[in-house]
Amino acid sequence: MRPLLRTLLLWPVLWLALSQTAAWQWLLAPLAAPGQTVLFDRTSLAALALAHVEIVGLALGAVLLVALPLGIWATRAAGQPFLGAVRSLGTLSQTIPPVAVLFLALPIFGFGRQAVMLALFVYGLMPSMQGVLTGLSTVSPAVREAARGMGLEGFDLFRQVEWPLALPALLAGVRTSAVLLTATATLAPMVGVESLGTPILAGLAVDNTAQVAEGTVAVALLAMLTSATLRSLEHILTPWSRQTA
Amino acid sequence: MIRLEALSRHFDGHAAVEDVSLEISGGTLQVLIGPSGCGKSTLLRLINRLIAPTTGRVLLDGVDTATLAPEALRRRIGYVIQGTGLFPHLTVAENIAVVPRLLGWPKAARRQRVEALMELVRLEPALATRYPAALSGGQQQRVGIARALAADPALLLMDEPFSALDPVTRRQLQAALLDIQQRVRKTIVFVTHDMEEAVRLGDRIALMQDGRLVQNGPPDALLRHPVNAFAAAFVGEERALMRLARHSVADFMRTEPPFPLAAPAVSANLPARQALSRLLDGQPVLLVTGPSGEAVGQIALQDFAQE
Repeated sequence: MRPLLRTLLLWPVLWLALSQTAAWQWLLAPLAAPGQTVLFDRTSLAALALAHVEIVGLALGAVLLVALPLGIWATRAAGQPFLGAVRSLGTLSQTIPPVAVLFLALPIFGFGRQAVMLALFVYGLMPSMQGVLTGLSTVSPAVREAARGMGLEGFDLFRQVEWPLALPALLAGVRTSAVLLTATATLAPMVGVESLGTPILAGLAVDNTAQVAEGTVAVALLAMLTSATLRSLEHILTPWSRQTA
Repeated sequence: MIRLEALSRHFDGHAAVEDVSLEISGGTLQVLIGPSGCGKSTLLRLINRLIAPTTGRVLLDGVDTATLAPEALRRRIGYVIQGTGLFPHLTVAENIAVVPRLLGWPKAARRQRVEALMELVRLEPALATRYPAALSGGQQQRVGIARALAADPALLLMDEPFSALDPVTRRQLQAALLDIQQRVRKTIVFVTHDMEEAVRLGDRIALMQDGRLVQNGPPDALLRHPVNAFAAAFVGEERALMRLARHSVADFMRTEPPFPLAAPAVSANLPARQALSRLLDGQPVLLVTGPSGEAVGQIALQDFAQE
């Protein structure tokens, strides 16, 4: 529990850090050209971060909603024939650049959240999908045989043996998805949705390095904290994967 | 106690097990042996119905196992496999308690049972909270045996349980199994491809070839009177030496005085092979002593040649 508590406590700390406008102003001032506003001033950095987290959270939720049932089904006897297809689907989805998805989605959804969600969902699917498939399909045959020999079948076998043993790979995949989505959500302002990408794109448009740095540093901090949080979650959910001879 | 009746199992037209009938009485350690692919492991899995027979029946205490729910059947039969198949995400205690938990035993009863079993297989109580990865191969297989015995099944199936272990650990576990068997008296069906292990452990040895039963009987019978050329070849040229694995010095010593009191002493319980080895090393004769160190006999090379 301890490591998870520690990383969870860092979230309010991050929130506070993002709210220290004066400190950011002071830090980034040297990067701004004379006459430029140092910080993006239409929305506060903390509010942008909140919007960013919300987009990433929703997209990650959508990824899990698809990856988990699909991955579980593809590794059951009934779905086994489609395992290859599901695997390729995950890989294929990541080869499509999110920028392309954004613009392809424009005629359908127009500007706004839906286009962002679609792009993030498509781009973030693979690592989670791969994690679920790897986790569930690499459970040792000896362990499965022993479990069946002790009278575990069907849902019992899944819940008590296969699922817990799949968790390390599964959670690692989810963590990769989350970090990837945190970085990619900076594209949201291209279709009119605010995120930590807003100061970056605004800064790029007027050649304002300070604003680009403002968004970039904030996204990097957010990605690192997301990764650390999920890592500590893995830590407490799979205590057995650490202890060795 | 267990009866296999004309049991066959075919995979895509190929017979893995063909017309095997075998009766194993309660409390017997029955070894199934044969070369790779002879069907011994398949036969074992037919007993707990991890594989369903193509034809034939398995009777457990007179009850046809096909009439029982496979999961319920397996919870009544202990199962130990090569490489243990321990659950890496459960502690030693949790691994041992899997079947009692499935059977709905209360927590206190499970804890008591775990403690008793760890003592039975000689595992330190401190290991209870460790994960399998933190254990040596020998300790892991002791947990595997304890786990199989957890719900006190009358029948224990063991599929090459010691094959992946180094020779020293393997011998320790063989001794541990014999010791456990002496205390709990289960019916054990034990699959191996190692003749020495079979002779050391088995009350009876069933030799298989190409899915069929070639010969079944006490180790001495198989070693002395192999029924055909295959059996003789499988038992091997060292069969006379192998018989020693089941005997101690007491079975070969001469008990008439006078005793060679100046010769090196060995215990009457010493495995006969070890005494033979010392004699072959150049010791002309050994003094055999009883439990309190008194001289009870003597043994020399020629004593092994008798019988």
